[in-house]
Amino acid sequence: MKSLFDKSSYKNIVSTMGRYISLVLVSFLGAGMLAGLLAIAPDMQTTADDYLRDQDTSDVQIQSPFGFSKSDLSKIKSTKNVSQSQTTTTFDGVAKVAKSSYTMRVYSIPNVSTDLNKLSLVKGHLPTKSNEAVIVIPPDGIKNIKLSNSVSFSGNDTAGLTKRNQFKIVGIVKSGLYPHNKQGTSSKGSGAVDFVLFVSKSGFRNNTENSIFVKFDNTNSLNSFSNKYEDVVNQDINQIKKFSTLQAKKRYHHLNDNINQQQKGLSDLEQISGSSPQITRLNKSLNKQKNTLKQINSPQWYFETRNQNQGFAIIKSDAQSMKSLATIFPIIFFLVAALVALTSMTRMIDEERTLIGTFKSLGYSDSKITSRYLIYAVSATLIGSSFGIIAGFQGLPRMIWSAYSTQYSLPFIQLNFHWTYAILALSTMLVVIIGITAWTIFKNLQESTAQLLTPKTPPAGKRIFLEKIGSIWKHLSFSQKVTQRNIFLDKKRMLMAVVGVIGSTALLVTGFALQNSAMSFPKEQYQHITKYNMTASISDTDELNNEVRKVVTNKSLVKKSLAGRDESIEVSSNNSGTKKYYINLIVPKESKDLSKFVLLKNNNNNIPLQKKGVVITNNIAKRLRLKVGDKIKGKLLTDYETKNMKVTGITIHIIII
Amino acid sequence: MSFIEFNNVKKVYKTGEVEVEAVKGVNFSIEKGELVIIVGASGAGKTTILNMLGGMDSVTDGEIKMNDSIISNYNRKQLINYRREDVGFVFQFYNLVQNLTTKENVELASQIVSKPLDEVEVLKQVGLTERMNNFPAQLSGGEQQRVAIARAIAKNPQLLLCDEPTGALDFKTGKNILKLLQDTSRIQGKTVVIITHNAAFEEIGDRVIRINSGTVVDEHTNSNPASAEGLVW
Repeated sequence: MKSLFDKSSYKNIVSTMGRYISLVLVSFLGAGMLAGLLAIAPDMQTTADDYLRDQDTSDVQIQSPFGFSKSDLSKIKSTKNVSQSQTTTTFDGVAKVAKSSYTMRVYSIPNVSTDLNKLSLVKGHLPTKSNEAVIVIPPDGIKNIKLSNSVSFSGNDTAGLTKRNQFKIVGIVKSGLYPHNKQGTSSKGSGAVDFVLFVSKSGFRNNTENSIFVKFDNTNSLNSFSNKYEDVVNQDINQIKKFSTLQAKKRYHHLNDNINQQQKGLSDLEQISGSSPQITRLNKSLNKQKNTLKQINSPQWYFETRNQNQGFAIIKSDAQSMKSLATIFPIIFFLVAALVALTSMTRMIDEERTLIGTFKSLGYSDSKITSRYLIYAVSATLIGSSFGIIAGFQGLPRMIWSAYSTQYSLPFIQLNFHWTYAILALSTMLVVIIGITAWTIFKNLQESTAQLLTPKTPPAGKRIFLEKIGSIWKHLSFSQKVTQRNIFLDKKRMLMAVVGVIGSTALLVTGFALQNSAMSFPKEQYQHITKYNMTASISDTDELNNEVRKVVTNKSLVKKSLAGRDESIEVSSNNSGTKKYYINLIVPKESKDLSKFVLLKNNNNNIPLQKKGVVITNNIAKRLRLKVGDKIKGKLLTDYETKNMKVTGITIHIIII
Repeated sequence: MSFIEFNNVKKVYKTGEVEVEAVKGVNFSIEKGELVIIVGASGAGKTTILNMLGGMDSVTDGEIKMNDSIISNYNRKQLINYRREDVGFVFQFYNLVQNLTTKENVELASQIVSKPLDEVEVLKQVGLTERMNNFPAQLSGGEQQRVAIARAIAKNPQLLLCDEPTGALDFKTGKNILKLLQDTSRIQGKTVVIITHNAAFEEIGDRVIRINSGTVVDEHTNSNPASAEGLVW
């Protein structure tokens, strides 16, 4: 026989549908927010990771500024766990294309087609001839560049690596090495790589390989965002690092000896046949090579893992920030859910007070009566949470992706169902709702059956403070007096109303405050900190220099100007492990004039720029865990030497450009 | 040895620091099959006595016995079982479950007891065969009270406790209800306790207990109680 108690409970759900739906909706929101926010980071990571896997993207790129010898390459290839490798020649340069100039990174495509670092063709064809190149399309597009445009570099940049300085764009591709609008930093041009070119191997001279992409065989099953992946790659790299310094030194000395030998040969020749323009030219070139080598104090190889790939690192940190959002944001929704559950279950149980008494008088047990309310709350939570979780998994990653993906060169985000997050969201929601319901009904069941059968005695009316102030009280109307007393009559109801208002107000104010402070940042930054209107970069050519000088010194156009040097540098510190950041190093010609253009200040005082040492921004100080007096390690991108600089001040800088 | 015994039963309510002694040491006994009328003015403590007897409220002092079991010492679980198996309640305002039909309301009570009576049979007894599938809101007050009585009877309890069962009904309907309760006692041999403020009901009781200010002021038996049909008030 069907339990009529249960039948009545079920019919109660139908007749109080509004209340039931409100419970369904809050659990929909609470569980959906939690599950959805939690899903974003892993979904982003899986999408990026799968894409990198599809493209057979390498784990590490090793670069040697003065090239690799054959034995270098064979040593790398035979290192433990190296499954695939691809040697290439690369250089950065400022290229002129379609009347614009861009900082470009150029790679050679190996003749032997390997699967590693697949180029997926978007348009055109892959280069076949020595003058052909393909361009990697960032999400922002390739601006004014078109197929069949020619790209020309200066001989300084190609540095004898290529057979020619001009290439024709024959195709547009995508590469797993460049998954983001930011494509890395460069020592050339503006300091940031604008575009990446892949040129046919035949466009490069022989034996110029200075870079090798390596894929390890023990990383295949690992997610490249995981710590495990990082550990495994670092272990694998360490196998290479064991011999890298020695090999680099060997190569260095070999090259040095070579030059010395050639110089000796030349001077011998000079003694025999006398000086000739050709010999002078050759000598000059050898001296230049020698000087380049001299700049390098400790010859070594450079390793760039995925984590050091700028694009990948940004995606990783984006995913990370979504993860931290997922730990704070859902709490608000759970609080709202808890409040709604508390209000509606309290009200429902109060309304059914006599009914509970009747059930008790008929001999129904406390647990059976509790089940009436638990089933009500639990079923609402289950329905709401389940749909919420599905909607969260589908909706939130999609929404966030649509905001982020304009920066990414990745396929559409994979919307996965995460069982652990689903269970986490569902069980958290259930615990909250069950806890509140059980507590409310438990309190009621503590009363005797007889008490339950009589209406709840309202709290005793009390005189309130306001009544003592006769001058006010006397002038209140009857209903105003009742209202005043009622406010203090039922403290629980009063508290719930107050908490509800606090919650909504807090949410609203938080939203406005966020918007407001976000808008005040630019104002603070651009009115008080960076006061200049424009920066102009000048190249090494004297003509341009003079042009710029003319404009800058024209008082009718420019009120004030300050010359200086602006270099991209890689910084790290002893306090923050292996983390590296790329920042700008600005050296004003006149230190005392700097404050007119950029204000250096901490909370209280302006910071003077001293003869020795550097002033760093609060942001980098925080990341590198530096305080005034510490040493910051810096390396010019054009240099291979790391130098220690003393931090003499930490300045407030809000917007990172 | 009587069927039910109240031995010096006290009930003290505490609200804050104020203690109110609602029942001040009550002694009486009830025999099996009797129709008992407990009469007293409002606030005399009669409902408290009924609640304690029905296992719906705790006893502060003294003991209540039924068939040698000390009800006043029962724990929570025993009280639930006692209310389920041994007691049937009839309330002044019927306390029916609004979203269940007449028949279902009776079944709601009978389906959890071990030896229930057939609910259709019981509804026939109270004259509600025609109204079995109606919801409480579709019934008159008298009909609703009859459903409540049917619900109590269908449990087949040893004791029927009625708290002002006619309080919300007109004279004629009230008399019908009293008749029904009297018949339940007379024909089926159930012990029925009726609480009322109306002294006129005394005539129909086999036993009458008068309560005033929490004490029993009179207890007597009627050797020849009047029929409820002839009652006038």
